[in-house]
Order: sequence, then structure tokens, then C-alpha cells
Amino acid sequence: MQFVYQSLTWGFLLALIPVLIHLINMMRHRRVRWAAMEFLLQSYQKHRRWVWLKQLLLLLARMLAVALIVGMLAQWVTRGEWLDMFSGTATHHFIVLDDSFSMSERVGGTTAFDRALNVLRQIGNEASTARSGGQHTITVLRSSRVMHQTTTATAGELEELTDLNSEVIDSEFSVLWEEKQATMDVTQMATNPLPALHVIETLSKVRPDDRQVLYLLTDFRTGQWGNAVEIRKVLRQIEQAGIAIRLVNCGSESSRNLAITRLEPTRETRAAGVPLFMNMDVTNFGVSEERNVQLSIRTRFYGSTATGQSNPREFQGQLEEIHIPPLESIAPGQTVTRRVQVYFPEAGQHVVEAELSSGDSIATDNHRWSVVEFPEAESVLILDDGERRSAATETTAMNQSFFLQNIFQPGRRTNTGIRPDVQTDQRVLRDATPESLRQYSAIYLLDIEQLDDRSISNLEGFVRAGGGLGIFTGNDVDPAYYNQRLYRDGTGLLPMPLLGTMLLPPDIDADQADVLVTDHPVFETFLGDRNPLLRRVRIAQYLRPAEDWQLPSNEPLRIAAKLRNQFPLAVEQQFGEGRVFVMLTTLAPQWNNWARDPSFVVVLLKLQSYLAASHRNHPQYLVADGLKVPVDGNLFEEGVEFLAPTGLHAADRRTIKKPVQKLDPQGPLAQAQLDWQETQHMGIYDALMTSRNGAVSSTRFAINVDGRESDLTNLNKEQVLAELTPVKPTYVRADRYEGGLVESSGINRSLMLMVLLITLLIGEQWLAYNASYHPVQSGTTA
Amino acid sequence: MPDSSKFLHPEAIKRISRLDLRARHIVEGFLSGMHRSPYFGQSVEFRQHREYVSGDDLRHVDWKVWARQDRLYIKQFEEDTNLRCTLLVDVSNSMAYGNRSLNKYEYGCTLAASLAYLVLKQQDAVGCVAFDAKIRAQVPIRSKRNHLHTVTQSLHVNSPADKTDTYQVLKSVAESYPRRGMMVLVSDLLADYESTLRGLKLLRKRGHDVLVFHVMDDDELDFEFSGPLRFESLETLDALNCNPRSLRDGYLKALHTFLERLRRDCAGNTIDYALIRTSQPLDAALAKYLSNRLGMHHRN
Repeated sequence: MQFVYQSLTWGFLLALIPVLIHLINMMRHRRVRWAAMEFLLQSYQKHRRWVWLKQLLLLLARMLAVALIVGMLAQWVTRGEWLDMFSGTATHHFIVLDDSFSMSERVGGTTAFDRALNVLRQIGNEASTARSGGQHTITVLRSSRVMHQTTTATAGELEELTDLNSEVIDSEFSVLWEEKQATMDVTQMATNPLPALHVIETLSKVRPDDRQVLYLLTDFRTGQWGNAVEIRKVLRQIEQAGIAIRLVNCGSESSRNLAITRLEPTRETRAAGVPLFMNMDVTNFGVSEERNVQLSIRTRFYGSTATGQSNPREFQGQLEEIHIPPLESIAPGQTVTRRVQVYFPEAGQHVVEAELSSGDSIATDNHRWSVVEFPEAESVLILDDGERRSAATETTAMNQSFFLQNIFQPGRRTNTGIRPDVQTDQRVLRDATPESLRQYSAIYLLDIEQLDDRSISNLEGFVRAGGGLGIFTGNDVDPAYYNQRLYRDGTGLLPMPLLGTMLLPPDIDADQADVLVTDHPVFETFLGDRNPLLRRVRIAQYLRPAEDWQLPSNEPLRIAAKLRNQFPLAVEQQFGEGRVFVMLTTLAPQWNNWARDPSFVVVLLKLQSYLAASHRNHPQYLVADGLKVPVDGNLFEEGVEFLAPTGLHAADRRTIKKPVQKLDPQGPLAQAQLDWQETQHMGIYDALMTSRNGAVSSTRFAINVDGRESDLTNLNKEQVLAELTPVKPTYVRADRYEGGLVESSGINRSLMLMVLLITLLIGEQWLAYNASYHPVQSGTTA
Repeated sequence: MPDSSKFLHPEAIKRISRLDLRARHIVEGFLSGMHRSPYFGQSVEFRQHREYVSGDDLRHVDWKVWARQDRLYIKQFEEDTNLRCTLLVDVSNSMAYGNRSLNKYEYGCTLAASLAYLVLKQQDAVGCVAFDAKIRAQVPIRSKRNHLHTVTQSLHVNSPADKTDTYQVLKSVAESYPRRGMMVLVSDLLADYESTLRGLKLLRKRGHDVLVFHVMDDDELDFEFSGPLRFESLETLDALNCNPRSLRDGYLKALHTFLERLRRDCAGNTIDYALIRTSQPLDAALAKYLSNRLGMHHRN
């Protein structure tokens, strides 16, 4: 007979109390001088045995009632020991161990993962000493091991993934477990228990005759368990298969955690020698305010002038520390963004590292890396055929590209990172290939009268692939032609149909600016108090959209700036992966005086940054997502050598050699990849490729942890049980676990005891009434 | 008799300590509730005239006086002593039981005194025998008004004994009172049943009208005890530790068997039997007596 709370079994001695009361009552008979003794003696002679029997039954009932109450409080569990003796039924314990990095939460010197291991050890100890349940076996499965597991795997394949597979729990189990435990640690992954539960469901079918118990050792984070529809579904299936479910909450109720949740470059032009801002988000996932949060930013420069370039396998980059002031205060749940300027003098893939110096509960999310690719410069194509056409028609036309070129390349001493390529002949577009256009981050059409179909097709392909297109209108623009070829009823590059050239009468009072800006990234600099900078800009002429055109509400189309008369001045449209930005006035100071205003420089540089943003991709990689590196199969046949981090220090790296897999048997398309297990550590990964001539080129990647796992908000018992309803698991907290889960894996008899107790108490009352222990309501007593 | 019964309740009677006064109170109270006095005028010797009051029987109106004076008068006569009533009162130890206003002994004595007063008030003669194992006091039959005091004095018995043989007692009574009359036995009858029955039969055989007032306490009839008790006999050395509710059914069954047998045997021997609870008002017993008295006239 087993009880969850063994210490309460001393309470069974209380069953002797009714005997004592009975003995005391026997000594406390009241005396009655009685006349009709004859009839009383007759009755006594006749019912003596029955009276004694009732007395005895009453005594036993009271003793049993006390024993039942104690049994209920101590939670008697039984596993059909008598049945076990004959059938030899075994008990199998499935243990799913959450090893996501939120389990590294450290409170009071121990982590949630330590608590989980401790509970697991206790379960092993309990099972090894359990007197019931037949032979006990155990299967331990870490959730990270099956994170990418497909549901089609067989039970045999799945068993390979377990840490312990059907190990018999005996006296030597503790030794085995200590050895196994030493190899286990929390991963940097953000795992979900669902795949592991699917695996357990499959494995449980291998031993249908055994009594099976599932223990889920996790921290019940709100992110995973807040809407656990799928988890509930699987647990329901597991429960319906007759498997008892035990939930062990290893997390703490409240702890502090800060995390760097974002580190990425801004949308500004990125080029060698051009300072770049990095955005860094720090989120406070704790329940209290954090003050004076120390941050450190480091850059690693991998340029040709850096030392160690000769051996890329050992070179960790030229390290430079950027000092930034601490964050004064971060409220609970608040995310603070800090902009940090970085500078790399040469082109290349350079690294920015951020580290949070905080004594919070999780250290893993206090680091973040970003690899920023800096080209020599961002090339832009400027098409301006005004001069050529004026020469052909013997008219005069203003050189519009002059203004743009002056802004992008103001002089040798000022580097904007933009390299303009001015072309006057449309053939450059017509004869271009996608590859030749890919070198440009943006293309500007300056007052182009017409474009032939092929040029339009090439332009559409360029923008659709992520390029930016800026269109400036002017006298030469033929609205009818633009509507027909570039607007094409809304399917073309032009965001809206054009009506014709309109004059904007000057504002006599000059109270209102001609240009009204919105919060569009190109114009947001001039919002609010900075709007006076645009006040001197005068627009005299513009192209008006067609009369029946209205701004669609559900399309990726946005008015960036308006005129004083509310007609659009600048319109932006998302087209494929790229963007089209149309300015409905001239670039040169023909229809306006903007080019002579200092704000013009700002707007154009912002426009370039904006149009080229999608061209400047910044891929994000998460831990255990795997890594695919495109390779030119013709140049690199020898395979790819990956340098993968093994710790937080830059020097802690290991080499993984991977073959090159051809994607196209005929062409050069190929790739080399690391699987999820080889990308389990966050940090900088280098893919080194050696060409046939012996030159080593490197492609760099930053892999970071999933910031969602940093949120330590977890569900309490009631929330977990409510979320899983109708599943009826047993729930315990690891920090308050005192054993009993193994024995409670049998059937808890408390309900049965309660029913028995109620029945017994009813019987006891009847017997007590019969045995005259109840006072009568009315009438007399002696 | 709703008004009078209030004054005849044992709790009210207990407040009157002297037995003769108690008897007077009971009987007067009992009779005042009756609007007619049928028990005067059984004699031929004129006693007095009395002004007619409402409720008087018109048969007793003196019409000659009415014819002369135009006023209604009732003629009253001196009655003859035409009944000899002997009260046989059990004063044994078993009669001492009772936890209410009156125990069985007190109730029996009060009943006997009331009957004596009633008998004397009707110009009949009354005698009294108090007995336990033997006759403890005996009062000869008299019809004098002051005889009531003698009767009540005889009922005060010190240190009563246990009852053994009722037959011997009744036999001596039968021999002491050879003239036929009414024998009223007031007892709890907790003695040897056969002996008691034989004694009653003997009295009937001698020509007496026998009236048995079987006085029992509510506890004895209902046995509503609870809790562990030790019952100790009032007359023997028997004792019993028990939980009474477990024995109640058996006890009541034995008691009812006894009572049923008693009723049957009394009826079989033309003995009037009345079971009286000590919690009942005494008028029930008096009414029983009077109905028996009328029955005697019929029989006579």
C-alpha cells in the first residue's frame, strides 16, 4: 500500500480513538432506577447478540472512517499490486525534457534545467524503490533532439534519438543517470514540446501492454503554452491511449531577464567608408524596472588592410570597441532601441557584436551578432535622354541628371557611397540583362518621354526582383503613353494614371508651404518642427493624376507628399520585391525651385536609401535553422569548409567540411549546407571556399537565438490546466516536488475512499442511532 | 370538559400538597365541568328545596311550588348509601418510579383520594387498603364526610416493601370485605401476573365489581431513552448496562404482549380495566369510575 504523503500515515493511529471513546463511554453509564425490569430483561435476553454485534460494527465503522480520512489525506495510490503479481505488468516512464534556452533561467544558483534533471533523478530513485508497478523502465527524450523530426519516421528511427531508451530502472540506474546527465546541457534553441509529444505518441505504441506514464518537464512559457491547441490535441490522444500525464513546471514564478532582441543596420546607404547606423533593441522581460543597463558594442573589421588576412581560418577580424552610455531605465515589458554608428573603411562582410552586461537569469540572450555586407559603393543607373533628344530636335533641354549626379557624388572628399552611372540612351535598358541590371541598387528615369516595350519589361523585372525605380516627370512625359504602357490599368510600374500638366497658382499670402509631407521615410525628416525647411520650396507645375483615379485602400500604394492643393506630389508603390517612387514634378528647377533648396539633397539621399533598401538584404538566421550557402559550382568543386562557433568566445570554433551539392546539373548553381544540429550555437559562421586557383573566399553569417524564447512569462497551474482541458494531467512544481509522482502513477484512490467514507458514515449514523448514541428530538430521557 | 381538565392536570395538582385538599380540588373541578348532577335524588327522603338553575333536570322541578308561587324550585332528597367502594392502592417500590410531576405512587394516591372524595360526595361508603407485599394499611368502609381524611392518612406508607404475592393480598381483602361492593385496584401491576389475575378473579367470584386502574409512567410505556444507561431494578437486585434504543423494540413488544393479555383477561372476567398514564389528567380516571358506577346501576 503506497501513499503520496507517507509521513501522514502515522495518522492511522488515530483509528484507536473510537476504541478509547467507547471504553470511556462504558464507564460513564448513567443510572436509572427502573420498575419494568422484567420486560427489559426479556428484550435483552432476546437481542443480546445483535446488540453486541451492532456495537462492534459501530466501533469498527468509526475506526474505519478515521482510517479512510487519513488515507484520503495521505493520498492512497494503488496500482493493482495483486493483479501485477499475476500478470507481471511493467511500468514505462516517458520523460520529455525541455532543453530550450529559457530553461537556463538561473534563480538561486540553480537553473530550471537543473531542477528538471533533479526531478528526473528523483523519479528514477522512486521507480527503483517502488514496490508496485512491476518492472520499471524509462525513456528520456530532450525536446531539441526531435525538433526537426518528421512525423513519418518509424519507431525504430525515433528510438535512436532518445537519450535513454527503455532502460530498466534498478539499483544501478542512478549511476547510469549520473553519467548521462553529465553530457546534457541546455541548448540555445527555442524548442516546442509538440514534436517530442508526437514522438512519445509513436513510441508508446511499441509497448501497448505496459502501464505508461508521460512526464513533461518544462517551464510552461506563455509563448508556447498560451494557445496550446496542438499540444492539447496530442496530449488528448496520449491520454486516450491510456497514458497517465504528469506535468512538472521547472520554471520560476518571477525572475528578471533582459535580452538583446534586435541588432540590424538601418535602411541607409551602405558602402565602404560610409558611416552606418545600427539599430539595437533591448527588451526587459522581467517584472521590475532595470536601471543603468551596461551595453558593449564591438565591431570586427575583415578588410584587406586588416592583419591576419593571410589565414582566414584563424583570423577573427580586427576588433574595435565602441563605447556607448548605459541605458538609464527599461520598464518591465518595454523595448528600448539604441542607435549606434559603425564605420568600416573597406568593403566586405563585417561583424557587429552586442553584449549586455546584466546579472539577469538568462545569459544566452545577452549576446547578438550581425554581419553587415558593405559594398564598395551602391551603383545607381540614371537615364536622362533630354540632351540627346534636344540635340536631335534642335531644342534646348535642361540636363536633369546633373543635379542628381551632384548630390550622389558631390566631390572627392565627401563620400555618399553612391556611384551614379548616367546614361542618355535608352538602349542601356533595352539591351540589358537581369544580371547586368542587378549591379544597380536603383534606376532613375528623368523626364523620359517614352520607353520601348523591352526596356519596360527589363525595368519591371529589375523592380520585381527587389530593385528601386525613381521616376521624375517633366515636359517630355507623355501622359497618354505613360498611362498606356507604364500604368496599364494598374498592372504596370506607374502607381496611377496621369491626366496632364497643371499649374499650381502661387500662394499670395505664402502662409502655407507648397509641399505637404507625410511620415513616409523619404520625407519624415521634415515632419513637425522641421517642416519650415521645405517652406521655401515652390512648385509651379505638376502632373495631375487622372480625374477618376482614387487612392486604393488595399494596395501597396502610398502618397509620400502632397501639394498645397491636396493633389499628390510624390507617390510610392510596392512592385514585387522592389519599390517605385514617382515624383510628379521635375527634378531640375523647371517646374519648381526645389533643386536650389538644401532640403533637396536630403530628400534625394533619403530616396536613394529607401529605394535601395530591398536591394540591401540582411538575412536573419536563428539557431538550429540550418544554413545554406550558394556556391558557384564551376569555381568551387572542392567543397565548403565551415567554421562554426562552439562557445561565446570568437576563438571557440570548429571546422565542418561539407560537400557542394549541384542544384542544376547543367549550370553552375550549387550549394553547401549545414543541418540544424550543426547550427546549434549562436555566433558567427564562416563558409570558406577555395577556388581552383587556390584563392580562399569567405562568406559570413550571423546566427542568433530566437528572441521569443527570452520571454519568461509562464502560466500558473490553473492556466495550464485550463488550457489543456479536457486533458486531466497531474501538475506539480519542480521546486516544491517532494516525490510521489511515480507512486501516483498508479490509480489515486482518493475518490474511491471518499465514496467509501460517505457510505460508511451513513452506515455509522444508522448504527449509532440504533445503538442509542443520538439524543432524541422530543420525548424524555432518563 | 375542556376547562376543568386544565385544573386536573398532574402539574397543576402537584402544587396542592395535602392529599384530601387535592382530592377535593380534583373532584369539584371535575364536577363543575358537568352541567347536570344526575347523582342526587336517588333516595326518597326529602332534604331541601333549591332554586332552579339552568342545567337542572326538569324532572326534579317541584311543580306544586311553581303552581303556588310561580317560581321554579328543585326538590333535593337525602340519598341512601347504596355503594360500598374499596380502594386497593399499590404502594410497593415499583410505584416509586417517575420523573414527571407525579410519580406512579403519587398519582395512584391522588387518584384514590379523588375517588374516595367522589364516593363520599355521592353519599356512598368508601374504604381503603394500601398494600405492597402485604396489607400495609386498611381503612374500614364508611360514608361519613370526614372519612376522607382517614382514607388519605392510610395512603402514607413509610419504607414500602417489594411486591411478592398479590393474590395473598387480594385474598385477605376479599375476606375482610365480605359484602359485595366495588373494588378499585390502583397499581402498576408489575408483579407476578398469574398471582394478580388469580386475586382479581377471586374478587369477582365474591361478587365484587372490580375496576383496575393500571398506572404507568410514560417512560415505561414509550421507553424513549438514549445513551448508555444502567437500569437498576426498584424491587429486585437486577441491573443491566445497555444502550436502550437497541433494546427498545424488544421491550415494547414484551410490554404490549403483557398489556394485551391483561386487557383480554380482564375483559374475560368482567373486570373493568383502564390504563392510565401519569402524564394524563385525572378526570379520565374519574370518568371511568363514574361510567362504571352507572353500569352498576344498570346491572343492579
